[in-house]
Amino acid sequence: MDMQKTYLACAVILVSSAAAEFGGVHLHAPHWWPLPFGYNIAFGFVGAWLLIIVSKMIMARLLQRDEDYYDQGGEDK
Amino acid sequence: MTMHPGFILILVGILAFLVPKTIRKYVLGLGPLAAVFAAMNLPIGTEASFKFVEGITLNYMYVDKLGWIFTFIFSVLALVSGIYSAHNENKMEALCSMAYAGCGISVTLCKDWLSFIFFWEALAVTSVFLVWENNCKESREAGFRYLLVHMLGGNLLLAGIFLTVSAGNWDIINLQNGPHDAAYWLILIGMCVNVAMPPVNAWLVDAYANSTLTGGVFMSCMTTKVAVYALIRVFAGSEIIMWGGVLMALYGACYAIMENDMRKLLSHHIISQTGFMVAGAGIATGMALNGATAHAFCDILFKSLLFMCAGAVIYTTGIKHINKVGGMAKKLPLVAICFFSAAFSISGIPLFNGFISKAITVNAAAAAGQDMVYTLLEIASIGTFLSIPLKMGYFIFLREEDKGAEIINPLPINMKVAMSISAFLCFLYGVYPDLLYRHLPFEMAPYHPFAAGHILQYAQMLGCALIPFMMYLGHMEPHTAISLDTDWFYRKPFAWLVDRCSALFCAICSGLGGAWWVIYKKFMELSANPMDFLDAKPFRKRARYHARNYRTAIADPMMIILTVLTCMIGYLLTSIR
Amino acid sequence: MTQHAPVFIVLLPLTAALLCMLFSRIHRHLGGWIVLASIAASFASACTVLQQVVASGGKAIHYWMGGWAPPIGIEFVLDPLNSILAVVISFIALVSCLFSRPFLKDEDWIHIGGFYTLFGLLEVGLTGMIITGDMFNLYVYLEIMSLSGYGLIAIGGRKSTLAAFRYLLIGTIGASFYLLGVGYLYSITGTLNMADMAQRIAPLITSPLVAMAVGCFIIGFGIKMALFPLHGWQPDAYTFSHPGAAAFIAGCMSKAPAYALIRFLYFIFRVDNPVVSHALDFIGIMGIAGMLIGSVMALAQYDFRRMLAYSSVAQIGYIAIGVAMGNMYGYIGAVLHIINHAFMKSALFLVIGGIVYRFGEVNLYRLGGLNKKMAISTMTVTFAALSMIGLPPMCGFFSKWYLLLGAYSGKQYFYIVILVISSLLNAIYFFRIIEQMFVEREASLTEIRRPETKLGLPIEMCIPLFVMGIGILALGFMSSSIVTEVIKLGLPEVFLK
Repeated sequence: MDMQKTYLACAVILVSSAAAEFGGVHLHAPHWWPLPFGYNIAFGFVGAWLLIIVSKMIMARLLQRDEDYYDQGGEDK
Repeated sequence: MTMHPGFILILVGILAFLVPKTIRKYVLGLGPLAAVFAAMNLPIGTEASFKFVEGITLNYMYVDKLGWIFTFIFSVLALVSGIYSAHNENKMEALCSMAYAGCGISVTLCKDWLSFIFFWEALAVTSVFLVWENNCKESREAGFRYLLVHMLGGNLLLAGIFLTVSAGNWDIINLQNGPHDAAYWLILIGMCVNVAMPPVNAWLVDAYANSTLTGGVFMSCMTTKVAVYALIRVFAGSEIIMWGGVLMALYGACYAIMENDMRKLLSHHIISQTGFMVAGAGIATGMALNGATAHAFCDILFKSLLFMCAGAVIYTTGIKHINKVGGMAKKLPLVAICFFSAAFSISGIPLFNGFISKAITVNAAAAAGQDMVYTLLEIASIGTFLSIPLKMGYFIFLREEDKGAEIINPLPINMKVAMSISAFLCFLYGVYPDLLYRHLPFEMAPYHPFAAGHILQYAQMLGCALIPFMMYLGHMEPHTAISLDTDWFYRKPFAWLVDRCSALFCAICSGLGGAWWVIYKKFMELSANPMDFLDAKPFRKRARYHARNYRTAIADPMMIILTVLTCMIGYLLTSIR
Repeated sequence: MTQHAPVFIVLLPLTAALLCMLFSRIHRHLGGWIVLASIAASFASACTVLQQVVASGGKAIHYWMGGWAPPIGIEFVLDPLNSILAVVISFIALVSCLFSRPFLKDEDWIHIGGFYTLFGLLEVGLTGMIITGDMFNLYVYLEIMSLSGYGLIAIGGRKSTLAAFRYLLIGTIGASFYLLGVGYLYSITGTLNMADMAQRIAPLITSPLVAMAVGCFIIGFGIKMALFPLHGWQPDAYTFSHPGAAAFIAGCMSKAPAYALIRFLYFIFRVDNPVVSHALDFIGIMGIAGMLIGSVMALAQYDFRRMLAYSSVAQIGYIAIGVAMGNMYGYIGAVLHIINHAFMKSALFLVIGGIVYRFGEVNLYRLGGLNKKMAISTMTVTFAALSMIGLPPMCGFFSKWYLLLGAYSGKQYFYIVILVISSLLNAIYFFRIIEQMFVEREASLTEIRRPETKLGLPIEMCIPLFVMGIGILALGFMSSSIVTEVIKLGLPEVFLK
């Protein structure tokens, strides 16, 4: 998959959606407080980034083991 | 005429077991059609019951809107999976998979607790064979653990049901508003085991990843969704469920990002998606419950499709690890298309059925004022997007290097047919949501999924989620490793404890046995020849008994005689006095 | 003719034995045949007498020797107790005599003649002791029995001479004690006839002299019947005696003194006075010790015959405690055990005699797998072993049962315990034999004499083995009739009061 093409696609989506937002398309806002501009963009970026950091850096370091971790000659429960 | 679709499926399973191989595939593929047909023709409000012993009536069929919709989607699942597994020659698996589906449907149609628990337990029993039929060591062990966990959960549920029934409540009702007594907690824990809420979630990943390829498709959708149905019926409105669901959603998503084995990753996702439904059940407004139901409906479709695709990849290449395959899009184009339709569904991309269902739940959370829940569920959705379309899609199908993965077995025609049907259904519901919405059981304000703002929101969110993925592309490739889960507790320390206790008991037994053996042998030696013992001289070597030792000079017997005589006469004389 | 049957029991074998050497000089086997025939006649006479006694309802037959009336004259008194024992002894003598013939086939006339003379005299002594009614006459027969016994033992082989000599010394002491006792009693009562003595001794029973006499009798008979601890001579004697005569010696030589003990204590001295009851206690203690020690020593033996000898010590202990119980069931048990043990022990010695004849092997651990080679012996030894252990329907069970009844009715529970323990010990060493015969691997035994018939042994040995084996079984079935029709008829008066 071509990185450049992907980045291009991302950029297109972002720009068009920002424009739509400016253009008054009513963003789906179920909250009682008004959303700041670009809330969802930030949400998507930060959310994904946070998930990757937590999963890959923190949880993986703590929890991952070798594939034969549980194999100990027929140990079973 | 009204027929119970669950019983039809059980009959199909028995039939598949008995017929020879050549007919079996037709039975498996076409038999569930009868069940689908029966389900479609089942009018709301049908009731059937059966008088058991002593005044106990089993209401095994009671069709209301909630039950019907689950019945319908389970029958469709049985049909699609039946077609998918038609190539499988294992008759035990055929019996068990159809019976499993049939029991699942039967649970959703039950009205009283006794038939409920009967079919619930039957679910566990039939599904364990789907794991065991995989015939390798890990599967046997995984199946055993699966059985044990389910027996534990089933027994807790049974205990709770027993308490309820002895209090006189025979029918299944919402317990949330009743007293939170022992029965309440026991039933709650029993259901949570089946719905795979952490900390009792490890069985799901363990078992589903080790099941047979075709059995996995059945299993992926049944047990957990039946448990979701049960939670919607019984515990709607519980805050514990709500937060438990959120935890499930995030938990599954994080583990999925780490995971390497294809089917384990999808299993973590089952936990994640089920979390959405459970959270919806917890929120318990009309919209939330509808969202949970709709999401269950759609999830069954796309989750089974994902399992089918993963199964297809494993079947054709023999590889189950993500970091060992690549470039499958060119080699298995149909699989790639089906995969991506399922992947987009699960992420909630418009035009696919995930979009129409997931959002109901999430927005219901916001509408009910639970903002934290809303936010966390959105993050979980992003996680879903990261792991399935992006991670799996890229690393299995789209990347250039193929890591030496070759097509070993060609893809059978029935699998292709099944996947296509499923993909089509995903798409159908995605573009024509009213097909589903008209059957939703609870009251809610009409919901329009294709509002522009909604689409825009998702486009922004998911589009930006793409960026960190690509930034960390190198890191996103999973390592060849397993992640420890809550089953570590019973696989390592508890197993060690049980092992040590049994070793202790065995040592005591053999010690006692050994002690008795020593006593027995010594007794035998002594009783065989006591004279050896008596003749033995200490501090020197034992002398064996020999007659010579006892043959003394003639004087000795004479002296003995005289002694005895004297004693006797003395004794007799004393008696006279 | 039949009214002289009592005396024929003794007279015919006596005549034949005394003339045996002469007949053997004529033809070496003739003496043996004559003695065999006379023993057969003696057996027939004994059966006749038994039948007469039973038919008369238990009334004793008195036969006055030479027509002289007692108490001066010597008489034979045959009541049910005597007659059944006479039948048993003469039957075993007959069987044993037939059995011994092949052993002496190749001997010269002196040895054959001498053997049968001693054999005949032994039979005379034993049966005479049993049927006589006179105390001194009993001494005569006792000595006849002893001397011929010493001779038969001494013929047996290398080590038997010493054994016979030891027996001679100790046996003479025993006989002397008996004579001493008779002398004491004669001095204070003036009579030697048993029935007369019974009447005259009754007021004098508590005098010290009578107490001493009772002591002497018990020791005398105890030595002769090998009651523990007076048994020192017995294991060697039984082990080394001539195999042809071993059955008769081991089976019967201890029975006549046991009978005599019963006769003296129950019929003459009566058991209801303090002296005799204390004496019974003493006998009981000796019996218990004999049962336990005899069994324990028997466990240790590897010579078959020596094991049987120690087993006899234990079995005589049974008889002793039957005597010591002092009640009717104990008495019945003792008498029944005398009969049964004679059969069982003789049968066992016949078996080992056959094995010695054919293989020359006496070590019981080397007799593995004998059931294939010697079928009749196996049958007999199995029956005899099971009977010794006390399994119904063999005869041994019934005598032990009466002993248990006696202990229970006399509230002497200690005897029950000892009986059980002793039976268990019995079981151990007798099952060893059965195990050797049936379970063990076949031992490699070299035949010293080729078997002439298909049965492995000459016909003269097979018939006795077979008859004894069947006899043990038959005695078991007939036990109740023996008890009710014979023994109960002859109960001593103390029980009938």
